[in-house]
Amino acid sequence: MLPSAFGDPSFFTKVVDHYLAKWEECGHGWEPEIGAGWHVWVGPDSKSARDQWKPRYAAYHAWMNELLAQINPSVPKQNQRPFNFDWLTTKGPAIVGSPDEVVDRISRLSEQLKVTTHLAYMDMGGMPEPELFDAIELFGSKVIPQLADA
Amino acid sequence: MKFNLMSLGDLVTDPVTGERSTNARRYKMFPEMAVLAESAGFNGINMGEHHGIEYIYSAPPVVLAAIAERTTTLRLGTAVTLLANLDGLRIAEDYATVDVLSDGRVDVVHGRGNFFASTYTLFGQSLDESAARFKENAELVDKLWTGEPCTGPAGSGPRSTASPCSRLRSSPPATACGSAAAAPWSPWNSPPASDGS
Repeated sequence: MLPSAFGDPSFFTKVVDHYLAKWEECGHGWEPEIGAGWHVWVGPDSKSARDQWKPRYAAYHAWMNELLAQINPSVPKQNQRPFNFDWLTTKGPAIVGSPDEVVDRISRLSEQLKVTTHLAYMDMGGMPEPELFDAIELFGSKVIPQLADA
Repeated sequence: MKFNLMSLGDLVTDPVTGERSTNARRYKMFPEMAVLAESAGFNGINMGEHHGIEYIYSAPPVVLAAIAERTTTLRLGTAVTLLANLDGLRIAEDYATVDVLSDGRVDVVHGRGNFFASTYTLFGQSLDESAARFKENAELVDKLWTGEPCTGPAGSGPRSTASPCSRLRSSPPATACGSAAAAPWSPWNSPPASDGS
């Protein structure tokens, strides 16, 4: 399972290749699984998803980096950068938008990292439960069915 | 392609409404979210584990047992189980118990958690021992779950496959979590899920 933590997912291509090569060597009798964790938000359309999530994601980003500075003597570089919503949601570990946008980004990340299970972290940054539960239902009705057989 | 819902249990004030949830509510919300995830078509749920910080979830097997009773198909996972910090025997027993109660739905994701260095201080351990502790416990847990005879850390006695581990035909699936800080990265893996019967 690959972590997110505000880093660049492309870093993990070599980890995945190493894992799959090791898997071959071990000669297991079942298929390897690659899991990947993402910061995820989906809304009815692109703008409303971003408007709703951006302040919460920014709050989570600030909170986590402040926490890390207190408890980790050598904070990784990706946790010292300022909040850059555009980078995080296009090149980084965040997936946000309309159901179709989310499907598109997940498809590309799946291909890049050979992911078999995506782990969506949605209840972050103080998001109120009613908004969270609506987004989980939307993800289930409009995103999962488009990718379940992929 | 499968989808799981994951939460690490961050307790953050909502910047939009100014409202702040509570530890107790965040805990009670998690099984409710899991029930919703199952009905929405998610494959599983993964719960984080941290100690002594405001990622508040610290006892995933307890919560996963509650979720097991409210769901029927949802995979019950972690993100991640702190294999280098916790006692390997305790991990094996706790997750084997949930695996039996849930008819084999447990997916344990092992991690070193060295992103959060303070966990090691809290447990009276050194970060330098992290990789060795992880390896030792991964081997121990694997043996306990599959019923191989084994011994614990130096100085401790032989460890048997006491119930509920002995009720498993094979082990709950275990996967390693890799990160930059966790390198070198070892693909610890055990067979796919038993049916727990």
